[in-house]
This record gives sequence, C-alpha cells and structure tokens, in this order.
Amino acid sequence: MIYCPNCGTANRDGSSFCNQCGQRLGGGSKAICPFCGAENPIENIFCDACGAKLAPLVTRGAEEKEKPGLKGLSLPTKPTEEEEPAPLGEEAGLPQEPTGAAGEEEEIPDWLARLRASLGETAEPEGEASEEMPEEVPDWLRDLGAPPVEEPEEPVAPAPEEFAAEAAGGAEEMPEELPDWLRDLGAPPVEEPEEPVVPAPEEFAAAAAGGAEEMPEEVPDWLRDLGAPPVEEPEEPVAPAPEEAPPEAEAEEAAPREVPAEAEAPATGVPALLGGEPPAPAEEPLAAWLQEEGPVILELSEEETAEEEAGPAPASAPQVPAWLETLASGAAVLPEELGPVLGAPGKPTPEEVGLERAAIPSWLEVLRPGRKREEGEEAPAEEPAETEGVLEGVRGALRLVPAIDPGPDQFVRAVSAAATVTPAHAETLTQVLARPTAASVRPRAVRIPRRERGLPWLAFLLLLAAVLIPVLAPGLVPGGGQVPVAKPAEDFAAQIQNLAPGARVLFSFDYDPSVSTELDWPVREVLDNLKSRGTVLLVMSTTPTGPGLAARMGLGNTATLLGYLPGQEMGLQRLATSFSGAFLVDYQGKQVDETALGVQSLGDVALIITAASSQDAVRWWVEQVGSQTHTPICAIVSGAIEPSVRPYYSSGQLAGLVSGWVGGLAYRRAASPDTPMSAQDMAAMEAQSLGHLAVVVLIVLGNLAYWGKRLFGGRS
Amino acid sequence: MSDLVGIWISALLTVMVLSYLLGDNPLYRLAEHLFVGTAVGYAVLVAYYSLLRPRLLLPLIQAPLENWTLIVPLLLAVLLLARLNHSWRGAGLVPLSFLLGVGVALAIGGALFGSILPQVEGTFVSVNPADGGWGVALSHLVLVIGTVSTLAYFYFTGQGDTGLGRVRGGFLKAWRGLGKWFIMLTFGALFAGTVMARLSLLIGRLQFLITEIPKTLR
Repeated sequence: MIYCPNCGTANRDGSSFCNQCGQRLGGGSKAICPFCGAENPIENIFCDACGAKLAPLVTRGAEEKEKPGLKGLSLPTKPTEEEEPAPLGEEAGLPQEPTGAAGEEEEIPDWLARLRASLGETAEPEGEASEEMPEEVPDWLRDLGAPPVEEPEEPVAPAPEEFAAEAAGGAEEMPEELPDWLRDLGAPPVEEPEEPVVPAPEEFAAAAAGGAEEMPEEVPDWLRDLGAPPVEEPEEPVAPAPEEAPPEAEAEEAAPREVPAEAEAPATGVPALLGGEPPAPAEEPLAAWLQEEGPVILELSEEETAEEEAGPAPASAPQVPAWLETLASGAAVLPEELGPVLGAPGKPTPEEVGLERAAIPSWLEVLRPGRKREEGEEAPAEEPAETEGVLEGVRGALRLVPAIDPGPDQFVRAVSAAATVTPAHAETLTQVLARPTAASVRPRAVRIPRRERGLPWLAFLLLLAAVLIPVLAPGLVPGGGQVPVAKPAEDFAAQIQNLAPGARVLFSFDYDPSVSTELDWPVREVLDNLKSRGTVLLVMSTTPTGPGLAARMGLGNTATLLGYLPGQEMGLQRLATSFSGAFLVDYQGKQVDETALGVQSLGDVALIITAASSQDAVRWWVEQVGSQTHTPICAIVSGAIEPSVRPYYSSGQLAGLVSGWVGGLAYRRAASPDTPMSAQDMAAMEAQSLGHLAVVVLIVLGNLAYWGKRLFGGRS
Repeated sequence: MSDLVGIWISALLTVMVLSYLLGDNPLYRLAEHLFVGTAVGYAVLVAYYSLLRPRLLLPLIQAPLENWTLIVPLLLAVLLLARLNHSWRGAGLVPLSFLLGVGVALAIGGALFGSILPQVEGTFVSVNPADGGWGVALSHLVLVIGTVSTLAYFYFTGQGDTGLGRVRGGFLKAWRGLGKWFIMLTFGALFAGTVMARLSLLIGRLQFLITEIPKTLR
C-alpha cells in the first residue's frame, strides 16, 4: 500500500500515480516526519528515525495539509451533476427510494457527505426509520444505519436468482482472511436473521454470483473496498429470499470469500458496476462508513505486527477519530442495534472487535510529565562522583542536565541526559582552577623605556625654571607683570568702597593653612582696605584652623576675633537665625558682648566676606545665610575652586569675587589704582604667567609626542 | 629669635615636602605627619576652648540645675564615642542619625532655595543685543545653551520606538553631544584653576625660601 503524499490516499502497491489526485507516487518523493524531521521513503508508514507514524502525511511542499486524516482508502469524490451516475435503482430497474432531506445534509461532515453521495444509490427511505431511532443517536447516525437495519417496514426486494447460489453457502462460512473486526461486524446478521429481505431480481442474482469471484478490472479500488462491509456487517436479519434468490445479505457475504487476503477489494459494494444494485446493501450504510476506517486499521495492524512486538510504536489507533473512540468505549449511549458494531456496554470491547489502544512511542514518552514518587519507591540513585580532574571525588558537581525538565524534585525524573556543553564547562572549570592564584602573580611595575626616563625630570626642570627665573630676576618677562582687569574683583572693591566708616563687616576665615600661601595675600589686601575705610571687623571661622590664620594677620584694635563657629552648615544656619549667643567667648577667651559690638543679627552687618579654600564653605554661606538675609556676600577663594564658585557671582548671590593671586592683584588695581605694584608682586605675577606658559608648552609637546607615536608606530 | 626659629623650621619643612620630587621618603613622611598632627592638635584645642568648655562643661559645673538640658547633647556625644567599641557600636548610631538627619534637612532646604532656584533664575537672561550689546547677548546665549545641553547630557531615559520617540531621541542625542563638550570645557577650566593655584603655592614657597632665608642670615 502506497500513501499519496499529496492527499493521503492509500494506493495499491506498485501504483505510479494516485488514483485520487493523480500525484506521482514513489520516486523522489519523501515523507518528512513531523516530529523528528527525518526524511523517509514514501512507502514508509512509520518513521525510520523515531517511529512516528507517517501515513497519511504529506510531503514537503504539499499544500493541502488539511486533507482528510481519516481517509485511509481511496474514496470517490462527490461527482458533479453531469457526472453523477444514475441511482443504482434506476440501473437495476428498481423503484427509487427517497433520500434524506436537505436539512439533514447540513449536519453531516463533508467527508461523510461525499461518502453518502458516493453511496447515494444505496440510500434507503429514512423518514420512517428515523422516527424509530432513539433520541441519543445523532441525526447523521439515524441517516446512516439505523433505518434499514432496525425495522424495515417494507420488505426488501428479493434478490435476483443470480445471487442465490453464492449467498446460500456464503452466509455460514466466513472467509478466514477476514480480520476479527470484520467477523464481528458480519456475524450478527448471519446468526440472527429476523427480518426478511425482499428477494433480489434474478438478474442481480446472476451478477452477484459471478461478480465476487470475477471482479471486473474496471472496478476501482475504492469500489472494491466499499464492497466488503455491507457483506460482512448485516446487523439485522435479512428476510429470507425466495428460492431462486437467497437473501441479499447472504449473497453479499459470499463475496469476501473471493476477496484477497488484503481484504481491499470486496465486490458487493459495487453492484452498479456489476450490472445492478441489489437493494439489500442499502440496509447497512453504517458499515459503509465504518469500512473506511476498518480496512486501514486492519491493514496497519497487519503490517506492523513485527514492529509493535519490538517496541511501543504507535498503532493504527490514532487514525480512529475521537468520536469513534467514544462510541467504541461505550461512553456514549448507543442504540442497541449499534452496540454490536461500536462496542457499547455489555457488548464486545474495542479490543475484542479488533481495535487497539493507541500506544505512545518512546519519543513521546519522554515528554510525559514526571509521575509522583509513590511510597516505598526508591529514590533515584545519586549521581556518581567524579573520578578524575580537579573535581575528583566530588559528587554532583557536574550534574546531569535533563533533556526535559522533569519538574519539582518530588517527581521522578523521566529522562536525563548529559548535555553536550557539560564537558566543555568542566574543561573550562579545570583550566580556571589550574591557573596560578593571585598571590603567585605579582603585577609588574610599568617600566619606562630608558630614553623616556628623563622626560619627567625635563618637565620638572622646565617648570622650575619658568617659576624660579622671574622670582630671581623680576622684570625679565615682557608684559608678565600686567594685571588683568577682573570685573568680579572690581565689584568686590566697589562693595568695600561703599561701606561707611564704622560699618560692621563680618569676615570669615574658612580656609586652612595648606592654601594660606595663595590666599593670605588677597586677604591681606582686603583687610588693609577695610581698615583704611574705618570699618569694624568681626572675624570668625567655620574651620578650627581659621582663627589661628586670622590672628597672625594683624587685625588691629578695631577688629574682634570671635573665633570658631562649630557646626559648619548648621552653625551658619544658627548664625543667620540669631547672632546673639552664636559666640559666647572670643578667640582670646573673653565674653562676647553683642551690645558692645553693635550687632544683634546679621541684618546689622553691612558686608559679609568669606575667604574659602573649598566650594562647600562658599555654598554654605550662600545657601544658609544669603537666602535669609539681604546682607551682601563677597568671597575670596582659591583659584582651584573659582570655576565652581563663579556661578554664584553670575547669579548675583555673590556681590564680589576674588580668586587667587591674580584676583588679589586685580582687586588692588581696582581698590587702589594709584598704588604701584611692588617688585615682589611683579615677580609673583611674572612667575605665574611664565609657569602657565610652561604648562601649556608641556601639554602641547606631550600631545604631539603621543599622536606622533600613534601615527608613526613608535618610530619616535 | 622666635621668628628666626620659626622661619628656619618653615624653610626646613618646605624643603622636606619638596623632597617628594625624588619620590616617597622619610623626610616627606615626617613633614606630612607633623602637619597633620599639628593641625589636629590645634583643632582639638580650638574646639575645647571655643565649644566644649564655654558651652558644655562650665554651664554644667557652675549651674547644673539651670542647664540640665545640656545633658542631652553630652549623652549624645558620649554615645558617639561608643563607635570606637565594637560591642557598643550600635549605640553610636543614635547621635549619627541625629546629625545626619539635621544635616540632610538643612542641605535640602539650602540647596533648593540657595542654589537650585537662584541658579535656574540666573539662566533667565536676555539674549537680545539691544539690552546689553552683542557681547553680553552672546555670553547669555552660551550660558543658556550650555546649561540646557549639560542638563540634557544627564537625561538617561531611552528613546521610544515610535516616530515621535525617535525624533525626540535624535534631538536629545544632539543636545547630549553638545553638553558633553560643555562639561569637558568645565573640567578643563577646573584643571587650569587647580594648576594656577598650585603654581601660586610653589611660587610663594620659592619666594619665601629666596627672600626670607637671606634675611635671617644678615
């Protein structure tokens, strides 16, 4: 049997083309296993690789994948109106029987409709029969089998004489080649004939007598297949035929005796081609649709006998549709007359009638969820310990990776297999463990090439020369002593110049000794200017070292060194809230009298000046004091933090800003334009300018060397 | 005489610190340890005489009943010392929590009203040359563009897949690129300011060595 790769139709062995769709069979066609993807010869029913059932399947590229899965045999398609053959009755000269109503046709599946159409010539009067069917039976079942089998009210036409001879002996002797299920199906009508059948006409009898043995060659396979069931499954007794014409059931049962072992070409289903259709086969349309399934099951079971014994390959049962299994298992309520056929309760089981349960192949068994371990069942054996390598003696270090996740631990693992990556992981782990430990690897110091070892010293010497030469010989640098104009410094000077004599100025030393060299000079300039303006200085600090730096500035008699204000940001917040009580004793340990100072709050202070070396100190003053008072705040800062503090000046939160030496000189120029610059100040400015130039040169040369090395590949 | 000793000690310590040019050496370490130790010792004395003695100890000794509330800060200070003992380490969390809580509260309020809002307001500037000339207008324009692009650089939200999201992503990407350059310029300015400040320190120490030492020898 060759299954068509296009439509799934079973064709005879040796067929070159499908008798259903014309598809070329064999040759280059390959059946692709839907589960493992392996290619199999088209003749294969089961996959060579995994044992999955292949037939009926379509090959790669087939378009009609929805071809009937139930179609195991070649069945005729519904003919068109022009091609539709005349009813058998007409050909046989019998009176026509009414067919089912149109509404009933709609409830029948397509494939069954086609089947019915092909068997339309055997239709029976259904209207009467359906009235007697139990309600549990669906309509299509009523149409199919019940009426003629159950209680044919009208006797069937007597079989013709030609059938009598064969039918006489055929009823008792079932052919041995027939499978069990066919025997079961065919047995009842033979044993319990209750209803008489109208004898067939004589011309039918003659045809039936010789037809079974001498099948005309023009008869297609599907007609041969269709012929068997009606003969073998007369469920209801057949009315005794006249002497010259035995009952038609008996006449049809005679046919299988000549049916070959494959049971594929019974003849009684093709009465039209045999010269006439006896009316009796119309009594068993149920067998007609069952035969579509039956031969497949039979054939597969025969071919797979050896394979099934070897392993749990899938049986032919999967081709049985679910509704048929339901019927076979007796779950559905069936009428008594269908019981013998479908295995209703109390009747033969599916196994007894030749049906087999679907067997789950091994590859599908792998996918089955793990079952719960039962009490008393031994737990799975532990994984073996490693026998070599760094993990020797370790158990379970390299666990077997299950191919399918078996679920929680309480479930027994179905299948586990070592993953292919596990050896690679083990190899990698071995290599990692074999590496020397960090303690044994000492980082090598970066070794500077010999010709480059002098470069740092060259940079040091260049910078030292740039700074030292102006200090030793001031005035050598043309234009180096020029003081730039800085608006922040000018604003700073303007704030001090606007102070009235006797105005209170709060000066905070918020820098540490590390930057005193940079800030002492501008601070001294500002203090001198304040003293010259006759202001009252209140000196404090937010750092513990600040009062000491202030003490050596020579503040004079008009200044009060209040000392250290603890708390940093919180101390400034308290100072802004209430000046009274912020300082109990001054730097000298004397009690601070706010009344004598003339300051009860920061509102009494005309200007606040902070000299800071960190951005935080300036920010504290601006955020905690400047946002609560309207007292202007000026800052003297290190050049390192000037870019960070400048936004406060730009936003107006700082009234003036002096940064580093350059800012101090700019302040001096703005506050005392007539005061000439001293030689020491000139030298400092020249050293500053030349030092900056040296730094720029070093940066440019360094970048040129770097890019030259990259571009010329180290030839430098 | 004291000034003379002080000048020589200062000069000696300056040379010891500059010896770091030759690498890490004991002279540099000695000068460093002296600086740190002196600064800490001085800070402790200042804290004692400016804070602990007048604000805590004397009031508790002279009028304990009137100043009994000072026991609370004293207790917190003692608990802070518990951080030194591993067994009592947890007790030190109480004053630390108090300090951090108050400090953070002040920082948030001060940052909001002292830095963020005024700085945002500071970017609302006119770019109209008629208001202050072309120079001022250009400066204000650079200020606005630099502020917006720098803020865009720290906008990390991913762009969407929709058309509008891609447009927004491209717009932000351009602004981020511009903001990156402004940030680099800012870092460059900070580096230049640091170099200038450190050069000032070097020049000051060299001037000290060159001018003050000869004075003492005369």
